[in-house]
Amino acid sequence: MDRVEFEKLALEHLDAVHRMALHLTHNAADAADLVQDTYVRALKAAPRFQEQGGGIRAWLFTILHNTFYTRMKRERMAPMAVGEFFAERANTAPPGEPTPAWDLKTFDWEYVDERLKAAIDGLDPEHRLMLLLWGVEGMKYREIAAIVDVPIGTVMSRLHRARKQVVKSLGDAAADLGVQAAETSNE
Amino acid sequence: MSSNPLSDNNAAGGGARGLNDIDFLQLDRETQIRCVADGELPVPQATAMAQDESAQRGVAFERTLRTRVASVMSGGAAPSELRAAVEAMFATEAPESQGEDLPVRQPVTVGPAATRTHAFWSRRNVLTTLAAAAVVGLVATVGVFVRNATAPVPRIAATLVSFLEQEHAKCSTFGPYFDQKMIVRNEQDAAAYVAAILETPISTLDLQESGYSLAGAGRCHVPGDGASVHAIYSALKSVVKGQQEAAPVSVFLQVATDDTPLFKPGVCYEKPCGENLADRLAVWRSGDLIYYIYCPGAADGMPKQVLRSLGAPNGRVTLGA
Repeated sequence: MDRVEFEKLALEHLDAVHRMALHLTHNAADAADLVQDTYVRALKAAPRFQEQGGGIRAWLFTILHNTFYTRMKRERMAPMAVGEFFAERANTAPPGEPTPAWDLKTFDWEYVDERLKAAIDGLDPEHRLMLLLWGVEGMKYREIAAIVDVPIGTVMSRLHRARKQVVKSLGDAAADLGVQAAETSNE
Repeated sequence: MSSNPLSDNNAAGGGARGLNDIDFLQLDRETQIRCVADGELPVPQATAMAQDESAQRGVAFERTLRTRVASVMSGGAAPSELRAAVEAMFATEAPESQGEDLPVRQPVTVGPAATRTHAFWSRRNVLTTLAAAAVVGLVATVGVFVRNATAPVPRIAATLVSFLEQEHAKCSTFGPYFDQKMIVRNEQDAAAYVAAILETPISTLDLQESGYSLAGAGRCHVPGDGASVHAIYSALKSVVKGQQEAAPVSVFLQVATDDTPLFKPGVCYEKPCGENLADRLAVWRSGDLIYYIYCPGAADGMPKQVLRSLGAPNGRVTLGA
Protein backbone atom coordinates (compact mmCIF):
# COMPACT_ATOMS: atom_id res chain seq x y z
CA MET A 1 0.00 0.00 0.00
CA ASP A 2 1.51 3.32 -0.98
CA ARG A 3 1.50 6.33 1.25
CA VAL A 4 -1.27 8.20 -0.55
CA GLU A 5 -3.59 5.24 -0.28
CA PHE A 6 -2.62 4.70 3.32
CA GLU A 7 -3.42 8.30 4.24
CA LYS A 8 -6.72 8.15 2.39
CA LEU A 9 -7.79 5.00 4.19
CA ALA A 10 -6.56 6.23 7.55
CA LEU A 11 -8.53 9.45 7.22
CA GLU A 12 -11.67 7.52 6.31
CA HIS A 13 -11.63 6.09 9.82
CA LEU A 14 -10.96 9.37 11.60
CA ASP A 15 -14.56 9.67 12.78
CA ALA A 16 -14.51 6.19 14.30
CA VAL A 17 -11.13 6.71 15.93
CA HIS A 18 -12.20 10.06 17.33
CA ARG A 19 -15.46 8.60 18.58
CA MET A 20 -13.61 5.88 20.41
CA ALA A 21 -11.09 8.36 21.81
CA LEU A 22 -13.91 10.52 23.07
CA HIS A 23 -15.60 7.56 24.74
CA LEU A 24 -12.35 6.55 26.37
CA THR A 25 -11.24 9.94 27.62
CA HIS A 26 -14.60 11.63 28.21
CA ASN A 27 -12.90 14.88 27.31
CA ALA A 28 -12.85 16.61 23.94
CA ALA A 29 -9.35 18.04 24.28
CA ASP A 30 -7.86 14.79 25.52
CA ALA A 31 -9.64 12.92 22.75
CA ALA A 32 -8.19 15.25 20.13
CA ASP A 33 -4.72 14.76 21.62
CA LEU A 34 -5.17 11.02 21.63
CA VAL A 35 -6.34 10.96 18.03
CA GLN A 36 -3.40 13.05 16.88
CA ASP A 37 -0.96 10.84 18.74
CA THR A 38 -2.60 7.82 17.20
CA TYR A 39 -2.24 9.17 13.69
CA VAL A 40 1.32 10.31 14.26
CA ARG A 41 2.22 6.81 15.35
CA ALA A 42 0.25 5.26 12.53
CA LEU A 43 1.99 7.34 9.94
CA LYS A 44 5.41 6.62 11.37
CA ALA A 45 4.71 2.93 11.39
CA ALA A 46 2.91 2.92 8.05
CA PRO A 47 5.74 1.16 6.22
CA ARG A 48 5.23 -1.77 8.54
CA PHE A 49 1.49 -1.92 8.09
CA GLN A 50 0.32 -5.07 6.40
CA GLU A 51 -3.21 -5.77 5.37
CA GLN A 52 -4.58 -8.32 7.79
CA GLY A 53 -7.90 -9.23 9.28
CA GLY A 54 -9.70 -6.06 10.29
CA GLY A 55 -7.59 -3.91 7.98
CA ILE A 56 -6.44 -0.43 8.74
CA ARG A 57 -9.38 0.34 11.00
CA ALA A 58 -8.46 -2.44 13.44
CA TRP A 59 -4.83 -1.36 13.21
CA LEU A 60 -5.73 2.23 14.11
CA PHE A 61 -7.79 1.00 17.05
CA THR A 62 -4.81 -1.06 18.20
CA ILE A 63 -2.60 2.02 18.18
CA LEU A 64 -5.31 4.05 19.88
CA HIS A 65 -5.68 1.43 22.59
CA ASN A 66 -1.93 1.18 23.17
CA THR A 67 -1.49 4.93 23.21
CA PHE A 68 -4.33 5.41 25.65
CA TYR A 69 -3.03 2.81 28.08
CA THR A 70 0.54 4.00 27.77
CA ARG A 71 -0.71 7.40 28.82
CA MET A 72 -2.75 5.99 31.65
CA LYS A 73 0.21 4.08 32.97
CA ARG A 74 2.48 7.05 32.68
CA GLU A 75 0.04 9.25 34.46
CA ARG A 76 -0.50 6.57 37.04
CA MET A 77 -4.16 6.61 36.27
CA ALA A 78 -4.67 2.88 36.13
CA PRO A 79 -6.20 1.97 39.47
CA MET A 80 -8.30 -0.81 37.96
CA ALA A 81 -5.84 -3.60 38.47
CA VAL A 82 -7.39 -4.96 41.63
CA GLY A 83 -10.95 -4.68 40.36
CA GLU A 84 -9.93 -6.25 37.10
CA PHE A 85 -8.23 -9.08 38.93
CA PHE A 86 -11.38 -10.02 40.75
CA ALA A 87 -13.63 -9.30 37.79
CA GLU A 88 -11.72 -11.76 35.65
CA ARG A 89 -12.34 -14.40 38.24
CA ALA A 90 -16.06 -13.78 38.34
CA ASN A 91 -16.76 -13.92 34.66
CA THR A 92 -19.36 -16.61 34.68
CA ALA A 93 -22.54 -16.71 36.62
CA PRO A 94 -22.28 -18.88 39.71
CA PRO A 95 -24.80 -21.70 39.83
CA GLY A 96 -28.20 -20.43 40.78
CA GLU A 97 -27.52 -16.82 39.98
CA PRO A 98 -30.41 -15.31 38.05
CA THR A 99 -29.67 -14.59 34.43
CA PRO A 100 -30.71 -11.24 32.98
CA ALA A 101 -34.23 -10.25 32.21
CA TRP A 102 -34.40 -11.25 28.59
CA ASP A 103 -37.81 -10.02 27.64
CA LEU A 104 -37.99 -7.33 25.02
CA LYS A 105 -41.61 -6.61 25.82
CA THR A 106 -40.63 -5.12 29.14
CA PHE A 107 -38.12 -2.67 27.70
CA ASP A 108 -39.13 0.61 26.20
CA TRP A 109 -35.86 1.42 24.49
CA GLU A 110 -36.83 4.94 23.61
CA TYR A 111 -36.86 5.80 27.27
CA VAL A 112 -33.79 3.95 28.33
CA ASP A 113 -31.32 5.19 25.74
CA GLU A 114 -30.02 7.94 27.99
CA ARG A 115 -29.62 5.47 30.81
CA LEU A 116 -27.93 3.08 28.43
CA LYS A 117 -25.43 5.75 27.48
CA ALA A 118 -24.83 6.59 31.12
CA ALA A 119 -24.35 2.93 31.94
CA ILE A 120 -21.78 2.51 29.18
CA ASP A 121 -19.99 5.69 30.21
CA GLY A 122 -19.89 4.30 33.72
CA LEU A 123 -17.95 1.21 32.72
CA ASP A 124 -14.21 1.20 33.29
CA PRO A 125 -12.29 2.09 30.12
CA GLU A 126 -11.24 -1.44 29.21
CA HIS A 127 -14.78 -2.82 29.42
CA ARG A 128 -16.14 0.27 27.69
CA LEU A 129 -13.65 -0.14 24.87
CA MET A 130 -14.62 -3.75 24.34
CA LEU A 131 -18.32 -3.01 24.48
CA LEU A 132 -17.92 -0.26 21.89
CA LEU A 133 -15.75 -2.33 19.59
CA TRP A 134 -18.42 -5.00 19.79
CA GLY A 135 -21.50 -2.80 19.67
CA VAL A 136 -20.57 0.24 17.64
CA GLU A 137 -17.84 -1.11 15.42
CA GLY A 138 -19.49 -4.49 15.01
CA MET A 139 -16.28 -6.41 15.53
CA LYS A 140 -15.91 -10.10 16.12
CA TYR A 141 -14.38 -11.43 19.31
CA ARG A 142 -11.17 -12.40 17.56
CA GLU A 143 -10.80 -8.90 16.08
CA ILE A 144 -11.26 -7.34 19.50
CA ALA A 145 -8.81 -9.81 20.97
CA ALA A 146 -6.22 -8.80 18.40
CA ILE A 147 -6.73 -5.11 19.07
CA VAL A 148 -6.53 -5.37 22.83
CA ASP A 149 -3.95 -8.16 22.67
CA VAL A 150 -5.68 -10.49 25.08
CA PRO A 151 -6.94 -14.05 24.67
CA ILE A 152 -10.36 -14.42 23.13
CA GLY A 153 -11.67 -15.82 26.41
CA THR A 154 -10.80 -12.57 28.10
CA VAL A 155 -12.73 -10.67 25.47
CA MET A 156 -15.74 -12.87 26.08
CA SER A 157 -15.53 -12.52 29.82
CA ARG A 158 -15.11 -8.76 29.72
CA LEU A 159 -17.93 -8.38 27.23
CA HIS A 160 -20.03 -10.61 29.41
CA ARG A 161 -19.34 -8.45 32.42
CA ALA A 162 -19.89 -5.20 30.56
CA ARG A 163 -23.19 -6.31 29.11
CA LYS A 164 -24.33 -7.64 32.40
CA GLN A 165 -23.59 -4.36 34.10
CA VAL A 166 -25.33 -2.39 31.38
CA VAL A 167 -28.39 -4.61 31.43
CA LYS A 168 -28.59 -4.28 35.17
CA SER A 169 -28.62 -0.51 34.78
CA LEU A 170 -31.33 -0.81 32.17
CA GLY A 171 -33.35 -2.92 34.52
CA ASP A 172 -33.06 -0.22 37.14
CA ALA A 173 -33.96 2.39 34.56
CA ALA A 174 -36.94 0.45 33.43
CA ALA A 175 -38.13 0.18 36.99
CA ASP A 176 -37.60 3.91 37.49
CA LEU A 177 -39.71 4.58 34.46
CA GLY A 178 -42.49 2.32 35.61
CA VAL A 179 -41.59 -0.38 33.15
CA GLN A 180 -41.47 -3.67 34.87
CA ALA A 181 -38.56 -5.87 34.03
CA ALA A 182 -39.33 -9.48 33.47
CA GLU A 183 -38.42 -12.07 35.96
CA THR A 184 -35.80 -14.44 34.78
CA SER A 185 -37.30 -17.24 32.80
CA ASN A 186 -34.86 -19.06 30.69
CA GLU A 187 -35.10 -22.43 32.23
CA MET B 1 -12.92 -20.96 38.87
CA SER B 2 -10.11 -23.11 37.67
CA SER B 3 -12.48 -24.94 35.35
CA ASN B 4 -13.82 -21.81 33.80
CA PRO B 5 -13.42 -22.24 30.06
CA LEU B 6 -13.19 -18.50 29.60
CA SER B 7 -10.33 -17.98 31.97
CA ASP B 8 -7.16 -16.53 30.50
CA ASN B 9 -5.31 -19.72 31.20
CA ASN B 10 -7.73 -21.88 29.32
CA ALA B 11 -8.00 -19.54 26.40
CA ALA B 12 -4.43 -18.42 26.40
CA GLY B 13 -2.63 -17.78 23.22
CA GLY B 14 -3.60 -14.28 22.30
CA GLY B 15 -6.28 -12.87 20.11
CA ALA B 16 -5.41 -14.91 17.08
CA ARG B 17 -7.12 -17.97 18.42
CA GLY B 18 -10.80 -18.38 17.79
CA LEU B 19 -13.82 -19.78 19.50
CA ASN B 20 -13.00 -23.18 18.16
CA ASP B 21 -10.37 -23.35 20.85
CA ILE B 22 -13.06 -23.12 23.51
CA ASP B 23 -15.31 -25.99 24.33
CA PHE B 24 -18.73 -24.54 23.72
CA LEU B 25 -20.48 -27.06 25.90
CA GLN B 26 -18.45 -25.94 28.87
CA LEU B 27 -19.75 -22.40 28.62
CA ASP B 28 -22.58 -21.40 30.88
CA ARG B 29 -25.94 -20.92 29.24
CA GLU B 30 -25.82 -17.15 29.39
CA THR B 31 -22.55 -17.06 27.52
CA GLN B 32 -23.81 -19.59 25.00
CA ILE B 33 -26.78 -17.36 24.25
CA ARG B 34 -24.55 -14.34 23.81
CA CYS B 35 -22.27 -16.24 21.49
CA VAL B 36 -25.24 -17.23 19.38
CA ALA B 37 -26.55 -13.68 19.35
CA ASP B 38 -23.14 -12.40 18.29
CA GLY B 39 -22.83 -14.92 15.49
CA GLU B 40 -19.73 -16.33 17.08
CA LEU B 41 -20.85 -19.91 17.30
CA PRO B 42 -20.33 -22.73 14.83
CA VAL B 43 -23.53 -23.38 12.91
CA PRO B 44 -24.43 -26.76 14.48
CA GLN B 45 -24.48 -25.39 18.00
CA ALA B 46 -26.38 -22.30 16.95
CA THR B 47 -28.95 -24.42 15.15
CA ALA B 48 -29.43 -26.59 18.20
CA MET B 49 -30.15 -23.54 20.34
CA ALA B 50 -32.65 -22.27 17.83
CA GLN B 51 -35.04 -24.94 19.05
CA ASP B 52 -35.06 -23.40 22.51
CA GLU B 53 -37.69 -20.69 22.83
CA SER B 54 -36.26 -19.05 25.93
CA ALA B 55 -32.82 -19.04 24.34
CA GLN B 56 -34.31 -17.32 21.33
CA ARG B 57 -35.70 -14.58 23.58
CA GLY B 58 -32.26 -14.11 24.99
CA VAL B 59 -30.71 -13.99 21.55
CA ALA B 60 -33.24 -11.41 20.40
CA PHE B 61 -32.61 -9.31 23.49
CA GLU B 62 -28.83 -9.40 23.04
CA ARG B 63 -29.10 -8.44 19.41
CA THR B 64 -31.39 -5.57 20.25
CA LEU B 65 -28.98 -4.48 22.93
CA ARG B 66 -26.14 -4.46 20.43
CA THR B 67 -28.21 -2.42 18.00
CA ARG B 68 -29.08 0.08 20.72
CA VAL B 69 -25.49 0.39 21.86
CA ALA B 70 -24.56 1.20 18.28
CA SER B 71 -27.42 3.66 17.99
CA VAL B 72 -26.72 5.47 21.24
CA MET B 73 -22.93 5.61 21.02
CA SER B 74 -22.33 6.08 17.30
CA GLY B 75 -23.08 9.72 16.72
CA GLY B 76 -20.73 12.49 15.89
CA ALA B 77 -18.09 13.16 13.31
CA ALA B 78 -14.60 14.26 14.25
CA PRO B 79 -14.34 18.06 14.61
CA SER B 80 -13.29 19.75 11.41
CA GLU B 81 -10.27 21.35 13.10
CA LEU B 82 -9.05 17.95 14.23
CA ARG B 83 -9.42 16.59 10.75
CA ALA B 84 -7.55 19.61 9.43
CA ALA B 85 -4.78 19.08 11.97
CA VAL B 86 -4.39 15.42 11.04
CA GLU B 87 -4.41 16.23 7.35
CA ALA B 88 -1.80 18.91 7.95
CA MET B 89 0.26 16.38 9.85
CA PHE B 90 0.06 13.98 6.93
CA ALA B 91 0.94 16.70 4.48
CA THR B 92 4.02 17.81 6.33
CA GLU B 93 5.22 14.58 7.86
CA ALA B 94 8.84 13.68 7.23
CA PRO B 95 9.61 10.81 4.87
CA GLU B 96 8.66 7.44 6.19
CA SER B 97 11.23 5.75 8.32
CA GLN B 98 11.69 2.07 8.02
CA GLY B 99 11.93 -0.39 10.83
CA GLU B 100 10.39 1.58 13.66
CA ASP B 101 8.71 -0.50 16.27
CA LEU B 102 5.15 0.08 17.31
CA PRO B 103 4.11 1.59 19.57
CA VAL B 104 7.20 3.70 20.13
CA ARG B 105 6.00 7.20 19.64
CA GLN B 106 7.95 9.48 17.40
CA PRO B 107 7.18 13.18 17.42
CA VAL B 108 6.15 14.78 14.21
CA THR B 109 9.25 16.13 12.59
CA VAL B 110 7.90 18.33 9.93
CA GLY B 111 9.85 20.10 7.23
CA PRO B 112 13.51 20.87 7.60
CA ALA B 113 15.29 20.50 10.88
CA ALA B 114 14.74 23.43 13.20
CA THR B 115 18.16 24.88 12.80
CA ARG B 116 19.17 28.28 11.65
CA THR B 117 19.40 28.72 7.93
CA HIS B 118 21.60 31.77 8.01
CA ALA B 119 24.60 32.91 9.97
CA PHE B 120 23.74 34.83 13.08
CA TRP B 121 26.45 37.36 12.39
CA SER B 122 25.46 37.99 8.81
CA ARG B 123 25.41 41.67 7.93
CA ARG B 124 21.66 41.72 7.63
CA ASN B 125 21.23 40.18 11.05
CA VAL B 126 23.66 42.52 12.70
CA LEU B 127 21.84 45.50 11.29
CA THR B 128 18.51 44.05 12.23
CA THR B 129 19.67 43.25 15.71
CA LEU B 130 21.16 46.68 16.23
CA ALA B 131 18.03 48.32 14.92
CA ALA B 132 15.90 46.14 17.15
CA ALA B 133 18.10 46.94 20.11
CA ALA B 134 17.69 50.64 19.40
CA VAL B 135 13.94 50.26 19.22
CA VAL B 136 13.86 48.29 22.42
CA GLY B 137 15.99 50.90 24.13
CA LEU B 138 13.63 53.60 22.98
CA VAL B 139 10.63 51.61 24.06
CA ALA B 140 12.20 50.94 27.40
CA THR B 141 12.87 54.64 27.84
CA VAL B 142 9.45 55.91 26.99
CA GLY B 143 7.53 52.83 28.03
CA VAL B 144 5.20 52.88 30.90
CA PHE B 145 6.58 51.15 33.95
CA VAL B 146 4.07 51.07 36.68
CA ARG B 147 4.95 49.43 39.94
CA ASN B 148 2.19 48.89 42.44
CA ALA B 149 -0.28 50.58 40.18
CA THR B 150 -3.32 52.04 41.82
CA ALA B 151 -5.58 50.68 39.11
CA PRO B 152 -7.18 47.27 39.74
CA VAL B 153 -4.60 44.59 39.16
CA PRO B 154 -5.60 41.22 37.75
CA ARG B 155 -4.91 38.32 40.00
CA ILE B 156 -2.88 35.53 38.50
CA ALA B 157 -3.82 32.44 40.44
CA ALA B 158 -1.01 30.64 42.22
CA THR B 159 -2.23 27.39 40.70
CA LEU B 160 -1.83 28.86 37.25
CA VAL B 161 1.70 30.07 37.96
CA SER B 162 2.55 26.70 39.47
CA PHE B 163 1.19 24.91 36.42
CA LEU B 164 3.26 27.04 34.05
CA GLU B 165 6.39 26.52 36.14
CA GLN B 166 5.90 22.78 36.20
CA GLU B 167 5.14 22.44 32.51
CA HIS B 168 8.20 24.47 31.68
CA ALA B 169 10.34 22.39 34.03
CA LYS B 170 9.07 19.12 32.61
CA CYS B 171 9.59 20.13 29.00
CA SER B 172 12.88 21.98 29.38
CA THR B 173 14.72 18.75 30.07
CA PHE B 174 13.82 17.72 26.52
CA GLY B 175 13.17 14.18 27.69
CA PRO B 176 10.27 11.78 27.12
CA TYR B 177 7.68 14.28 28.35
CA PHE B 178 8.89 16.78 25.81
CA ASP B 179 8.86 14.11 23.09
CA GLN B 180 5.33 13.19 23.95
CA LYS B 181 3.92 16.67 24.19
CA MET B 182 5.75 18.69 21.59
CA ILE B 183 4.65 17.21 18.32
CA VAL B 184 5.67 20.08 16.06
CA ARG B 185 9.28 21.12 15.78
CA ASN B 186 9.73 24.15 13.56
CA GLU B 187 8.38 27.67 13.41
CA GLN B 188 6.56 27.47 10.11
CA ASP B 189 4.52 24.41 10.98
CA ALA B 190 4.12 25.47 14.57
CA ALA B 191 2.31 28.63 13.50
CA ALA B 192 -0.19 26.63 11.46
CA TYR B 193 -0.57 24.01 14.16
CA VAL B 194 -1.09 26.56 16.91
CA ALA B 195 -3.54 28.53 14.79
CA ALA B 196 -5.54 25.36 14.17
CA ILE B 197 -5.79 24.55 17.86
CA LEU B 198 -6.54 28.09 18.99
CA GLU B 199 -8.73 28.77 15.97
CA THR B 200 -7.10 32.12 15.46
CA PRO B 201 -4.15 33.22 13.34
CA ILE B 202 -0.84 33.75 15.11
CA SER B 203 1.35 36.58 13.92
CA THR B 204 4.64 35.00 14.87
CA LEU B 205 6.23 32.30 16.94
CA ASP B 206 9.70 33.10 15.65
CA LEU B 207 12.18 34.20 18.30
CA GLN B 208 15.32 33.77 16.20
CA GLU B 209 16.10 37.44 16.40
CA SER B 210 15.81 37.25 20.14
CA GLY B 211 18.38 34.49 20.23
CA TYR B 212 16.02 31.53 20.59
CA SER B 213 14.91 28.80 18.25
CA LEU B 214 11.75 26.79 18.62
CA ALA B 215 12.40 23.39 20.16
CA GLY B 216 8.81 22.20 20.01
CA ALA B 217 5.16 23.08 20.29
CA GLY B 218 2.18 21.07 21.39
CA ARG B 219 -1.24 21.23 22.89
CA CYS B 220 -1.38 22.13 26.56
CA HIS B 221 -4.00 22.36 29.25
CA VAL B 222 -3.40 25.71 30.87
CA PRO B 223 -5.95 26.11 33.67
CA GLY B 224 -9.07 27.77 32.36
CA ASP B 225 -11.70 27.01 29.78
CA GLY B 226 -9.84 28.26 26.70
CA ALA B 227 -7.84 25.99 24.43
CA SER B 228 -4.12 26.40 24.90
CA VAL B 229 -0.74 25.50 23.47
CA HIS B 230 2.78 25.47 24.79
CA ALA B 231 5.88 26.29 22.76
CA ILE B 232 9.36 25.99 24.20
CA TYR B 233 12.47 27.65 22.82
CA SER B 234 16.13 26.84 23.21
CA ALA B 235 18.73 29.56 23.33
CA LEU B 236 20.85 29.69 20.24
CA LYS B 237 24.50 28.95 20.83
CA SER B 238 26.17 31.94 22.29
CA VAL B 239 28.50 33.61 19.86
CA VAL B 240 30.46 35.12 22.70
CA LYS B 241 33.15 32.74 23.77
CA GLY B 242 32.75 31.69 27.37
CA GLN B 243 29.33 33.22 27.72
CA GLN B 244 26.82 30.93 29.38
CA GLU B 245 23.96 29.78 27.25
CA ALA B 246 20.58 31.12 28.32
CA ALA B 247 17.93 28.78 29.71
CA PRO B 248 14.97 27.69 27.56
CA VAL B 249 11.95 29.97 27.45
CA SER B 250 8.33 28.85 27.33
CA VAL B 251 5.46 30.56 25.57
CA PHE B 252 1.94 29.52 26.51
CA LEU B 253 -0.99 30.79 24.46
CA GLN B 254 -4.55 30.45 25.61
CA VAL B 255 -7.85 31.53 24.15
CA ALA B 256 -9.46 34.07 26.48
CA THR B 257 -12.82 33.16 27.94
CA ASP B 258 -15.16 34.53 30.54
CA ASP B 259 -13.03 33.11 33.32
CA THR B 260 -9.87 34.85 32.12
CA PRO B 261 -8.47 37.45 34.52
CA LEU B 262 -9.10 41.02 33.40
CA PHE B 263 -5.81 41.88 31.80
CA LYS B 264 -5.87 45.49 30.76
CA PRO B 265 -5.27 45.94 27.03
CA GLY B 266 -1.91 47.49 26.24
CA VAL B 267 -0.29 46.29 29.45
CA CYS B 268 2.22 43.53 29.93
CA TYR B 269 2.18 42.18 33.48
CA GLU B 270 5.35 40.75 34.90
CA LYS B 271 5.50 38.58 37.96
CA PRO B 272 8.55 37.20 39.78
CA CYS B 273 8.17 33.50 40.42
CA GLY B 274 10.06 30.27 40.77
CA GLU B 275 12.58 29.35 43.39
CA ASN B 276 13.98 32.43 45.10
CA LEU B 277 11.82 34.46 42.72
CA ALA B 278 14.60 34.20 40.19
CA ASP B 279 12.26 33.43 37.30
CA ARG B 280 9.89 35.77 35.57
CA LEU B 281 6.40 35.34 34.15
CA ALA B 282 5.05 37.87 31.67
CA VAL B 283 1.35 37.95 30.82
CA TRP B 284 -0.66 40.06 28.45
CA ARG B 285 -3.78 39.95 26.39
CA SER B 286 -3.77 40.44 22.64
CA GLY B 287 -7.20 40.21 21.07
CA ASP B 288 -8.72 36.92 22.09
CA LEU B 289 -5.44 35.40 23.17
CA ILE B 290 -3.59 35.44 26.45
CA TYR B 291 0.19 35.20 26.27
CA TYR B 292 2.10 33.66 29.15
CA ILE B 293 5.87 33.80 28.82
CA TYR B 294 7.94 31.89 31.34
CA CYS B 295 11.59 32.79 31.53
CA PRO B 296 13.87 31.22 34.13
CA GLY B 297 16.75 33.16 35.58
CA ALA B 298 15.38 36.52 34.62
CA ALA B 299 15.28 38.20 38.01
CA ASP B 300 16.24 41.48 36.40
CA GLY B 301 13.26 41.33 34.09
CA MET B 302 12.03 39.46 31.09
CA PRO B 303 14.31 39.73 28.05
CA LYS B 304 12.80 42.66 26.24
CA GLN B 305 13.73 41.33 22.86
CA VAL B 306 11.61 38.27 23.50
CA LEU B 307 8.65 40.39 24.51
CA ARG B 308 9.07 42.58 21.50
CA SER B 309 9.30 39.65 19.11
CA LEU B 310 6.03 38.29 20.46
CA GLY B 311 4.32 41.63 20.23
CA ALA B 312 4.00 42.38 23.94
CA PRO B 313 2.39 45.74 24.67
CA ASN B 314 4.59 48.59 25.82
CA GLY B 315 2.84 49.18 29.12
CA ARG B 316 4.39 47.36 32.04
CA VAL B 317 2.96 46.44 35.41
CA THR B 318 5.05 44.45 37.84
CA LEU B 319 2.94 42.28 40.07
CA GLY B 320 3.93 41.22 43.55
CA ALA B 321 5.38 37.79 44.05
